Amino acid sequence: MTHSHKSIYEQADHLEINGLSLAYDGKSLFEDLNFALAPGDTVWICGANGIGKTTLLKCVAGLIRPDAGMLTWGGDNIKAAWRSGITAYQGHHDAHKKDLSAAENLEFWQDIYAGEEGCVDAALTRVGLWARRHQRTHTLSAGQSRRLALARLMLRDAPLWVLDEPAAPMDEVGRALIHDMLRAHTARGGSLLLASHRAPSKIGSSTRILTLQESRDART
Amino acid sequence: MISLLANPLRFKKFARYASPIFGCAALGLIAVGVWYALYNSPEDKLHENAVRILYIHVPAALISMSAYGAMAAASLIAFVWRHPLADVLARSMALPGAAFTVLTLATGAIWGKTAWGTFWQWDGRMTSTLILLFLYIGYMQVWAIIEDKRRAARIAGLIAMVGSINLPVIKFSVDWWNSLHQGATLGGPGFETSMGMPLYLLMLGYGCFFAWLTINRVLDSIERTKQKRTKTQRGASAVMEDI
Amino acid sequence: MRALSGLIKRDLLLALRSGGTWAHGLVFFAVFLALCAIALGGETSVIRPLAPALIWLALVLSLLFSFEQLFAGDVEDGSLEQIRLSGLPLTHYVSGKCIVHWLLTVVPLLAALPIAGLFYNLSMATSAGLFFTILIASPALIIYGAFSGACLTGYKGGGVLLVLLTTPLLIPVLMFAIEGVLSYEKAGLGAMEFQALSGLSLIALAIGIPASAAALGATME
Repeated sequence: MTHSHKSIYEQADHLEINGLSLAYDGKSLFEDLNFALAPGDTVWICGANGIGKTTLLKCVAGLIRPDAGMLTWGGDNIKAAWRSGITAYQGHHDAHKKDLSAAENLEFWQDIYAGEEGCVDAALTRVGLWARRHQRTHTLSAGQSRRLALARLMLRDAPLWVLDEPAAPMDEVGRALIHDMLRAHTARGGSLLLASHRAPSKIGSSTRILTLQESRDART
Repeated sequence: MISLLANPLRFKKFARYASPIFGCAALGLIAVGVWYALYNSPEDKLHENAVRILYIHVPAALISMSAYGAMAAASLIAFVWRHPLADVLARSMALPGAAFTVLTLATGAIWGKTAWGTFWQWDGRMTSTLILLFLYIGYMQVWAIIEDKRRAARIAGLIAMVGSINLPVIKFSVDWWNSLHQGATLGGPGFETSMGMPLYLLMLGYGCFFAWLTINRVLDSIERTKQKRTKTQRGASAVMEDI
Repeated sequence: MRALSGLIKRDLLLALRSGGTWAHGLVFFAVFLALCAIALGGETSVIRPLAPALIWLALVLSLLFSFEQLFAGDVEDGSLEQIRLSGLPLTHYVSGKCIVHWLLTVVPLLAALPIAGLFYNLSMATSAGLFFTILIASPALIIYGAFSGACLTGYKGGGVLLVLLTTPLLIPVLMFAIEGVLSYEKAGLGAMEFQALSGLSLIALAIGIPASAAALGATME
């Protein structure tokens, strides 16, 4: 699928995955996986627990090294792109420091990402945590903590979002918020790779589902 | 040659003739060396027959240090080129290397008892060798304690590399410290030229023995990995569809 | 630079709010020195010549137990993952953590030196010698400890192994430092021991920081 609209993400580009294979502890999680994401695309990764969704996401984000396979961003090896921070990843950890307030946590990340002033306030407001900005994060509920993590996504211009069950700890309002954010991201030309237990829904103009399955044959 | 041996199959072919060659060479060299050491070399003026323990001690010391260097070199190759067998090679050299280090310490202690009257002295050589033993044990423990062996390989490799860079630093520091506190007279046994032959024979013999041990340990490791891999039960597949 | 200062700011803030756990090393230092004095019978004539060695031992031991937790927090809560994804080189991250650790462990110990000098009846020259050897050798101490900490992050019971891994790297430092304290009296900062200590710290900087970064990278893979 090609999109001709211009992305507001400076570094948005095509992600291509070729021949990705990873085995862990003698078990093959995925073999010779091939797919591509264009700017604005969404791919949901679905499958049973433990099938390798998280591992696949981490490979695409650059956190785990696959056994074989090639990832490219805009035709070039993705490693350089990873180093310039094209990927925003949200896994099972929210990565907040308990003894810092919500705002202080985000200010730290703003320093790391070299963001502009005022981004933190805007992000807090967007996720509905402005009132709790001075609260220590260990007092936040799981849903609020996840919102704060998602606020972090807004502090930078990462064109590729890799999210592992982002809505897991959320209530309905939270889920609606996430959906808004994801739609806005793809509308701006960002690419989206998600894993979820829930039924995938359409986001943006191109949404696909990649289902990981165990094959029945036993190897000798 | 390094890339040739990367393939486990090729390594096994190499080992099929290399292992017996090293093994026989080891046996031969050590046998001749020991004969020379026991019957054909002069007694040390000061310490008489006890000096013969040095024929075991000095080559062992050499191998224990070289083995660590070899381990570090293999770790570097594994780290930079992600060469799969290099990790196995490094790990296989650890226990033999540590064993030679213990041999060095033990024979050194026996020599010390006959020469100075005490089993242990904190002189330059003994202290350096003890530190080397700590380095070996630390390396082996890292392999043991980290469950994910891919991770263990990289971390152990880093430890071997950092340790090997520090080896000359440690040696230099300990010798300097020793010269300040113990004086240089305590350590060195006298060497005569006719002592040279058995020493070189035994050094070579130990080296061959070490190579033989290492090759066989690598073979063992390859076998075990192959067996684990044949237990792969599950394949995987993926299906892509549009919403 | 901004990322580095942000990291340092965050860690200092966290230490401040941690309820004093940063001072544990200082406590150990004091307790160890007291125990030494008591064990040796408390006589000044016995303790005074041993003081440089005992104080350096106290320093090394109190530092060795502080490295286990250096990276643990960031690894466990996923912060290190996020930092890696931001594109910040791990060497910068390691440098920042080492700077903070130095500020929280070495600086208080240097500040406590006069008190140690009081308890051990040290001369000005000895105290000054201790101060300068600790200052110059501290990069090596921190960085090699950080390296072992990076290697063993997340492994329970890693504490003893950490001591075993770090000790061989610190023995040269210990040797030159203690001699340096004694040489300071005669030769001041020009003594060869100080040059050796500077060299050791430079080597640690050159190889220890990249090695620690690599170990952290391997930990996350």
